[in-house]
Amino acid sequence: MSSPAVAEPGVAIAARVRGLTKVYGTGDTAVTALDGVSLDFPAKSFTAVMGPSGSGKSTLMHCLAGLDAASSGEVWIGDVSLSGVSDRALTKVRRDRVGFVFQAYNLLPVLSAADNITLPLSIAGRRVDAGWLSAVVAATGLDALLARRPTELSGGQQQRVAIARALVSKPTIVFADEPTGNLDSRSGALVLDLLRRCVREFGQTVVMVTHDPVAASYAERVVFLADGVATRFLDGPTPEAVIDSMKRLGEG
Amino acid sequence: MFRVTVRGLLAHRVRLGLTALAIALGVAFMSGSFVFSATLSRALDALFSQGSAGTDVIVSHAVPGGGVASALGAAAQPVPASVLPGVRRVPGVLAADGDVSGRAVLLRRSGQPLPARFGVALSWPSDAEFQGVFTARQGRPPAGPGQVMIDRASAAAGDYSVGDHLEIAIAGRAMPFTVSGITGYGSASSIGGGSLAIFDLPTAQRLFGKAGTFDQITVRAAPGVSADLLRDRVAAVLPTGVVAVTAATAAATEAQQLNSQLSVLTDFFLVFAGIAVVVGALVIWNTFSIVVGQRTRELAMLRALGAGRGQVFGSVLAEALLLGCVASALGVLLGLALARGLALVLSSFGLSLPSAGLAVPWSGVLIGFGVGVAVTLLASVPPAYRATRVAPVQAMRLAAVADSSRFSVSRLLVRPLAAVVGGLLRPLPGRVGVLARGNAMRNPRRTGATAAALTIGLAVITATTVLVSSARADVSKQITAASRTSFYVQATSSDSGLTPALAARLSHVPGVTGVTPVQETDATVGGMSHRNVSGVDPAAIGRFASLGVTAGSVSALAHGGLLVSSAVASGSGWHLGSMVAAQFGSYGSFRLPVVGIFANTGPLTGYLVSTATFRADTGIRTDQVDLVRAPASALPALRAALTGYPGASLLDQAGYIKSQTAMLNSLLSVVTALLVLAIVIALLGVVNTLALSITERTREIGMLRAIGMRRGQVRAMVAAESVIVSVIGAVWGTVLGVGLGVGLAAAVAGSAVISVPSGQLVLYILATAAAGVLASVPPARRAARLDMLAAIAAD
Repeated sequence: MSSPAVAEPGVAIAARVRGLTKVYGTGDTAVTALDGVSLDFPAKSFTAVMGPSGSGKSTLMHCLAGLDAASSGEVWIGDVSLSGVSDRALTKVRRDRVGFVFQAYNLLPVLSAADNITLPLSIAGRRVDAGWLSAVVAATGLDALLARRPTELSGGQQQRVAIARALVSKPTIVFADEPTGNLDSRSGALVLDLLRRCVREFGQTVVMVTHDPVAASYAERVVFLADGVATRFLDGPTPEAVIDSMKRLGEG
Repeated sequence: MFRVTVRGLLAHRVRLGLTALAIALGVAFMSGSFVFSATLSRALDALFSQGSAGTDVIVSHAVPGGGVASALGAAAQPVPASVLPGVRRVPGVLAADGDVSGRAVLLRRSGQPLPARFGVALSWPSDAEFQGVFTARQGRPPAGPGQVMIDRASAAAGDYSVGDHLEIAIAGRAMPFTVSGITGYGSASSIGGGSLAIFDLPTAQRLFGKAGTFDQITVRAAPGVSADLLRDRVAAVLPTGVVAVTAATAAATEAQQLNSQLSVLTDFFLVFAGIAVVVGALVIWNTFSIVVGQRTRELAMLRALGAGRGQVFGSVLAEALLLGCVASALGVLLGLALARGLALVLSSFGLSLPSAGLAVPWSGVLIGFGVGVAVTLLASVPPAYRATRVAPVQAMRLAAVADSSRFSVSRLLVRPLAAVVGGLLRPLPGRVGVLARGNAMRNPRRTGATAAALTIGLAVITATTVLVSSARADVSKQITAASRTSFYVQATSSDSGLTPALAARLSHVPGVTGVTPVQETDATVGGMSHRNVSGVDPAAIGRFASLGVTAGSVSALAHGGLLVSSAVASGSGWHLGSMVAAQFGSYGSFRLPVVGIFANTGPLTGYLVSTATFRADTGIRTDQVDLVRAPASALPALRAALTGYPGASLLDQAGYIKSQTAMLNSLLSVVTALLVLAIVIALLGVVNTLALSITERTREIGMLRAIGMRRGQVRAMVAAESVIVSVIGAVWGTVLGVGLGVGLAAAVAGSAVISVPSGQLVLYILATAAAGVLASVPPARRAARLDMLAAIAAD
């Protein structure tokens, strides 16, 4: 039950990789984390990336998001190529076109929830679109919590602040790295539902790295990685189908 | 994990290096002071024993308190020339010679003084036995009223050779001479950075008003006669009041006198070394506190594995001991370099010390080392104690950096200022100012301790500034309020003074309506040393200064006695008729009655005697300043009258005030320069704290970079935090310093005027803020270069 890695012509693409290879170290100690991956992430889609430890899923996300440089191959965010550009240009891409949601929330303890949400705009020196901000705040259900500091929020609330922060700059694509890893299942479900609504209601593109089959089932499509290669694709996943695919992955 | 360990070690190395430097600088200053003073003292001993080479016994006037009159001292009573023949006839005397000394300033061909620290005039010893110190001579000894022999260094500086015409300023007035010869002094080309003018005896006696007298008689023993024996024999033929001492004793006494003056300098240095050490201790305490805080988890694990509290305490202290030893050793080495540097600076000022090389007093070096180690250990005790309070269970918890929100003094001191400075930095793009302010307030205790190190240095600088500024305002106000003088003709060198003939010359200048000379000297009055006493003409002085006499009268001075200012009178509890002891240098001690009290010192000092009393009691024949009453239009004529008087400078009131306060300004400069060291150490602490805080915030900074913060913005954020911390330290330092300075100015210095130069203080704060930006450069660089992946990877 696999689908082609590359989208049909005419479909709008939010991010694209071609022949992406990442090698750590040199000589005998060289480790190939990604081995010629080619993938398209269509706009307004919710993709989960799964794979066992060491499969290269984190490396894929880091290279896609402009946090790490590829050894070879091409990466595009929208129509911008990330290959061989300066740190300054990469920073600008991350700032204007990419949103992040981290496992450990990574909010700034010195800022209120509201200030944490608008931080990317402040850094970029951009105006806050009040209408969009209130839509984001309403969607994340944070209206009553905006004045609080991160230390005064629960884990689930903190992660919702982090999602609001990722959405506020209207990025081309949002990357979520194990967003439910530190949450209990109820809070996790709320966060995943929120990510799904972001795609459906706001037309946001979301790529989520996870090892949790239930989390992956919220996505529209799951990409399975093994040994640095995209081996399987699963559209409209259910938790059972994901577990099944994972097992087959293990069988090789 | 390996990468993290290596990173940690590297971070450690920088941190240890900075912490070590913080204590090493203080130790360097301390041991450097000891070494420098020992070196100077040895050099002075050598200089004085060189001067007395070939002499066994010195005959001079007895001075109050015993001892011998110094040949170079300004005020010494002369020995009658009639004593010399008797001394020459004493059995065992190979040779005896009388000499006269004074002050003379050698001039360039342009008429400007040569750059010597002081100008000594001597008489040429007629007996070859005493000519040994004048080495490597060229030309001939001086003979006759127009001849002079000068030192080699001055000859080189002024490009003079034998036979050249040379002008010498004596008591301010230029006099023409011919260079008959050029000489070295012992192994040096000059006398300790000063210039030498050597005249024949009659000329020297005439020039310095010592006809028929000697300052001292030098005696050389015949072979086989000991100096002690000769001294006793010579003493037997001397009249009362004249004494004989061995040359060795005299040299030692002189060296010791000069040394005791220089030891004030050493004490002065040591005070600043002490301040530097205290600041260093604060830096160490803060660094260890942060490190212990960051290692909570590791310490808890050790405790969980069974380490006792004592072991934890010991491990922190052992680290401090090691650090203290390395840093103090480094400090001692730096101190040696510092002392060498100071000696070089001195010789570049012309004070070439005869013996090169450093005298290293091991006691001083050991004190420096010991203080360094002890202070490091002491500063680490509170953090080490805190380490023992870590509960084993904390190993199981996530080591979150405590966001301490409890009330504390440091919070009270830090928060309002952080808010103000943070508010000023708010316009910085990208919320950099807000983030920096939040970071600075996150741990008020840490911010407070870092800022406190800066506070100390700035408090002392500010207090000194307020004191100096108040004293300056006081002087200025006194002169402005009470002086009725339009022009001041002042001696450029107070040692050389002005010839009394100048006052007479000035009074004949067209337009001048009055001239009165004022003498001045340093004296011990009523047991208080370093009081300035003025000699004035009782009949004339009232026209030049409105003294505001409240008791007695100025004219009473004419019969001897002392007029004191009301500040002095109330300070000493004197009233009309009080008998006051006044000691003028080594010249003599006199009891003077208080014959009047006056309110305004104006251009004078707090102690006035008549010129006649002054001359008789001090032996000083020259004037310090001539007060001139004349319309402004007389200025060109006055200037013209002063040609040929390079030792006199013509000043208006503003210029005179400036000259009276110049000393205060240089004091302020010296204190500020010395305290810059304490500021530098405190800034090292800022660097350290920022670096450690950045290590703590690796994840946050990584996130900021990930969501699009540019490296420049990260650097700006760290710099802004540094500025906030620095300004907090500077503001509290300034506030404390103003309080201290105002208190001291009012209570100790007795300034009637308190002046707080707010512009200058704002400048200090701005300079500290700028220094804070500089201090942030290394940690900001590191923060900007943090690996984003390592930063956001869950550990």
